[in-house]
Amino acid sequence: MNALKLHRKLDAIWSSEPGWRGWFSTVNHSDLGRMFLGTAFFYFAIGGILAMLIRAQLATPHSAFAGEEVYAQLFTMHGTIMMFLFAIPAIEGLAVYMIPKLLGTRDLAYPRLTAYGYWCYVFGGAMLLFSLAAGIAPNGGWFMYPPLTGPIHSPGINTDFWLIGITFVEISAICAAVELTVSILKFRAPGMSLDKMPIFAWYILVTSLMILTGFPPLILGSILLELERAFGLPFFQADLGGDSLLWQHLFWLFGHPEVYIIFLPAAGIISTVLPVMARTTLLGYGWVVAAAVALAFLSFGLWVHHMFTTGIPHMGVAFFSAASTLVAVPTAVQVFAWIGTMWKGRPELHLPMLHILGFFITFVIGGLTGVMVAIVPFDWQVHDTAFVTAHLHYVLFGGFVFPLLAGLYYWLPLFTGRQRFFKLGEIAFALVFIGFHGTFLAMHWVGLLGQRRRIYTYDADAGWTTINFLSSLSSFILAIGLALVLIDILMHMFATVRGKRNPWGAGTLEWAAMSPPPSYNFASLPVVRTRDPFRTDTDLAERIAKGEGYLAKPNGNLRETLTVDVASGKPDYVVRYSANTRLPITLSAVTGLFFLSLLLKIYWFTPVAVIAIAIVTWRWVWSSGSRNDSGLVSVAANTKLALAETVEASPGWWGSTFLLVANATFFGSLIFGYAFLWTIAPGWPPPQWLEPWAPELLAGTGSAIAASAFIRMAMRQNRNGQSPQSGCLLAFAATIMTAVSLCSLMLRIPDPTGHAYGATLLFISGYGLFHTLLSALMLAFLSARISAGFVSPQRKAAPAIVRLWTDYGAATATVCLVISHLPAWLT
Amino acid sequence: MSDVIRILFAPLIWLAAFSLIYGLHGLGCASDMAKSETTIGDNIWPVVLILAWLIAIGIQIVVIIGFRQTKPHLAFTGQVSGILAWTALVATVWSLFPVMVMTGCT
Repeated sequence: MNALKLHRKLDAIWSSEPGWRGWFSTVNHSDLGRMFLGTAFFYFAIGGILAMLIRAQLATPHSAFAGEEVYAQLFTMHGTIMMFLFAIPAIEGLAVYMIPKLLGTRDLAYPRLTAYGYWCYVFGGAMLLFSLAAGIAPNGGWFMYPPLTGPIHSPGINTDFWLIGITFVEISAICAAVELTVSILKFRAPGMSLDKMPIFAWYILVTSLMILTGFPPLILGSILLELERAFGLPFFQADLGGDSLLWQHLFWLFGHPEVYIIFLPAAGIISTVLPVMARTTLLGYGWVVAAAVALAFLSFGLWVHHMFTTGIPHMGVAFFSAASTLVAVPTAVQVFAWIGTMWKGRPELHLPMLHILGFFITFVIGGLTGVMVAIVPFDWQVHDTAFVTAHLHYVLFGGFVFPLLAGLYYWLPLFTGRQRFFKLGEIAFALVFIGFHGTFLAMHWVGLLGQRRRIYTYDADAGWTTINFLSSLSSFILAIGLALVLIDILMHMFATVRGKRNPWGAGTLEWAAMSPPPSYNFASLPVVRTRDPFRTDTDLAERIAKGEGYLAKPNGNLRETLTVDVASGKPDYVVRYSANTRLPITLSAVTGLFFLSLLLKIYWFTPVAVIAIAIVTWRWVWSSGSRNDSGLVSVAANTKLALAETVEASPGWWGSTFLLVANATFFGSLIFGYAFLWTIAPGWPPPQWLEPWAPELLAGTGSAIAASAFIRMAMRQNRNGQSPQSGCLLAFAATIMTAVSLCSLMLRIPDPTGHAYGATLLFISGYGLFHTLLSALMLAFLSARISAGFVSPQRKAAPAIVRLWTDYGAATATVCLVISHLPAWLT
Repeated sequence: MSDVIRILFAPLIWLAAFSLIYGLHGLGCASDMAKSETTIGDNIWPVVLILAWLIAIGIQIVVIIGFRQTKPHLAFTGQVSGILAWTALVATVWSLFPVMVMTGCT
């Protein structure tokens, strides 16, 4: 088959439906990456307009432009949109689009999950946007501190929009994180060992793992606050045994890593683009990888530095102050690696490089003010002033927007297949750079003079008028610069001529694909032997197009790719994807109905939505797999591989493992919250402890252990060629017994609205019950699959996945039962 | 996967030690066991914290020695995990050093 025939055949298999219908059924990562990026930049524009309105209000003292309530909504939505609806989705979009191309594969691990995540983002974001348009937007600041946002001080629906909308959007982030983690670990070109991975993939891997462990505390906090607001469970009310500081802990457990979740992918862009601009390779690849991992870990030890003024004991504060200063070291390692890269190369001042230089100057200033606020006495002086707002913007705009623009301009020829013609980008960069520094240097200054953040007006004699006016003026220059960037990109996309492949002379694999890349990325999967395969092998693109690699012969109409061993990159097994489908948008719409029922307090509809979610999910999972054993699949001359459904560590198993990592973090945060309230919150001990009841505890924990044993029995039966049905049904029965024990516990707990103790026990037992019922549902599904002939001694992927969930359900149910009984025994 | 776990291992120990000692400090303050104004004074709690810190440092040193004696699949993994093991040791010493010099619960 010649290159053109191969292209036509593969494109017919992999492409989306033509026309607007394709938008709703596509599961292709290139389509979804573009959709993510387009939507994220739409929100960036809205967030930017809100910023302009804020600066218009602050330009003069006693401004009548916006009242206090409108202003509160403006700054809350500006922060919320920029953090949750722009920065994270933009990174997800770029990663979703780029990662398979950089890794030399055809798609991400779970194409339908990518689509589901995107639609959750769209629907969740639309909820927040509606609230803004209707004048009922969240107004408690982007970190939503109770008691301000509690039911007493914020009784309206504004806060509910934030709590429910953001939780909905975060589903998207978790989906993308699972997707990207598994894709980077398993879905790479043959031969691409860990040390040959593009540096951007390392950064995205680290970031994805951070999302999996950083977002769950915020999801937990949002659920708890919504439960307090909707049902009066007093998790954050001090007079009823709650503590508003618990929210701050949960929020910043997410919030500080969030800064690095935003920065690290941007640093990945710098580490990718800078060496190409300097016509060399990245200096200290291994050190940069280590620095990224170190930064990720250290970022989880900093959250209390946002709480230095809350009265935490000095020793506790000192731990976090020390950790906060330490974080400068791995950041500096990266900065010095980049400087060294420029030193050893011959840098060229193309437009991406201008943005990189903008990043250097801005981010280093932001980093230095970061070290300043890490020092406790200084932080006490500037806490809640405009200085902190300015620092935040230096870090996030400098550490994210400049690198993102560098990345966009760098990969634009790949996205479009065109070359730049108009030179608007350089003018735009100058305006952005001048406008940004004018805005936020002034904000540092006025903050040091005492202007508090989030004030909607100030007196003329405060001495801040000129500085605020300069800041506002500069912000409009910044806005004009960003608008020019948008115009430049649109003109590039629609009004320039076709360009040559790989205009920068880069060595990574994405440039070996056609520009713009076809739906299947690579006609055959290349064999990778170096870190920059396209630099050392200039004929690579031609050989890929001719089919001189893996999976060059399309197998019917099947969408196929292969996985590799995590460390060595040796080919592992073949994965077959499902085709275009509307299931993801359907499931996200049904998920949206669930969240809407909570928002509008139509609680009778909530169980209906949950059942609908279960039905659609059942159908989703049912459509995978086959009823017949098949042999090995030929992937190249003399190389045959097994199918994914014949291995226990299938993509589903990998995805479940990382999803459970996120889930376990959620559960760990819950236990932390329980311990925090028990030991720190005022109003403890509660008026009444739960009465311990040994039969309930023994039946619950015993049946949980039995469920784990029985699912193992089912797997053993399957391996030995016997029917696994009996083991599966016994595991199901044991799981139901555990659920009964947890129901018994829920019925016996003290009044959950009277004290945070009862509320916490209700939530803990509810968590255990939810996971036990989820295990039961999965066991029922497995039983149905066994009956329908989807499981055989050779096709053993499904039981291994169900075992993971059963074990997790059993472990969490046991912990829930034990920690619920514990306080009464200890006291 | 063992290569990835090896990379994450030492920083995970730092994270666990950091959380544990911060938790121990909170527990001590909540239960009135650490309300001493001196570094090592009237009660046992500061000594417990210092002991926990020293144990954490000891574990990090054992990890470094262990890494030197075992080889991963890739030399690259050995290099990165080695750098991170030293980083975790420095982080353990530096970020938890306040147990030696700060007062307990004020």
